[in-house]
Amino acid sequence: MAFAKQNPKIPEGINASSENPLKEFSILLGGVLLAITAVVALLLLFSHQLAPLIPFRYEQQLVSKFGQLRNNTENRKQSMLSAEAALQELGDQLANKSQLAPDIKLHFHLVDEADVPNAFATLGGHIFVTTGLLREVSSENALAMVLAHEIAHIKFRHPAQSISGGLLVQLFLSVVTGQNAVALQSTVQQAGIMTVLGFSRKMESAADRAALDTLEQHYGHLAGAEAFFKKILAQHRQASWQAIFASHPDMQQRIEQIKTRTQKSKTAATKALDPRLDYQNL
Amino acid sequence: MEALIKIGIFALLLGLGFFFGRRAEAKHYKSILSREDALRSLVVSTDRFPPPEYMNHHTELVSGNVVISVDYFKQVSAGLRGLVGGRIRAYETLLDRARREALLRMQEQAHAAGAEAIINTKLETSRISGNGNKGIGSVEVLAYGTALIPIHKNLG
Repeated sequence: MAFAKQNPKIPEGINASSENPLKEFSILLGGVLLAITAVVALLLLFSHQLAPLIPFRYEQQLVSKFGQLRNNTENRKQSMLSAEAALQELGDQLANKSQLAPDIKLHFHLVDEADVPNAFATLGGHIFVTTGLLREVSSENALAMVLAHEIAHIKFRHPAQSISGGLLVQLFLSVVTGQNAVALQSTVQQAGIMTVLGFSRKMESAADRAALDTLEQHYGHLAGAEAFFKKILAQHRQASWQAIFASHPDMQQRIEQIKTRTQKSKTAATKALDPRLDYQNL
Repeated sequence: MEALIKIGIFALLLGLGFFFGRRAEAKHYKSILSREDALRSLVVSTDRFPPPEYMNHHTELVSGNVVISVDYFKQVSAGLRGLVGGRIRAYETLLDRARREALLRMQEQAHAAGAEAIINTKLETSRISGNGNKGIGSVEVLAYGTALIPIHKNLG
């Protein structure tokens, strides 16, 4: 075999294609964006079903700043601190009867807002109660009903559900882009999670039912449970109540449900409020 | 606003990468094709032993080395490809250019030495990564072989 006299001319396009790279790029980019959009849409669509599956730990990490509120004790009155401790004790007793998932820890906070009787549950097992609510409740049973109701929200992961659309999308994007959770945390805080979360009517009645179960377990009866709710209804038209009613729709209907349950239960004396929780002492 | 600026910078880098990368590539291919034609008679072979007609030639090591940088557009394009798999066309042209350029440089060195052919040609490729594998990477291709130089020419 003779040695070649010259190098052969190799046809182009075998090892490298002459196709415009923009074509491949746009197909790829379009495809990837489409896939991300589809996943985000699915997450938003099924967020309510998926939210309870988010580990509670993630919720706690997101709102880790709330914990600092507790530690900031210098500017708070001693009476407020002891009232908060009493609230935590009562809450923990109720929580033991609520069949919470083992990883859920509850934190109760007392907010100094005498004019607005309100209580709300938010992410990370944090429950906020205003001093205005303590002024309105007549017995421990009535307060326990409110607390049990908020505990039930956390048990059913309602706070996660109500913001889960955004939360899941953020989680997904942070996984895709490889960013850490710090950015995530700031977005959640920007979204103002500290404000009252909007729960649906279904969530509210589920929480009511669970709260009544808890009360029955704890006290053995349901006396006094509907007192606070009745009081709310009586003052329905007052402007200061609007905040509660925005998140607690169909109050009348809910009270009817609670009433039917309480009427079936045997009558018993209500328990007096812990003196530390007495509004006069705050 | 912050996100918009980020997207804007990304698009700008992408556009610059595409425009200059594409221009450099077209220019490079043009040069490769014309030089390949000019050096066609200097045979490059992978034979390990010289053919009989070159038995009395003097031998010399010749090499050609080239480093080509990846542009931003190619990198993003390859990154997207990395999600779904398949041929990374953006890198294929890059390596094709590098390999042919390295061979040409080797041929040019042999030509300067008065060689008539090159045998036992080998190619090596290595990656020169950007800072901590995060910057824009580049590729090095080294071609080397044994140049066969007629003795009378070597003697002058």
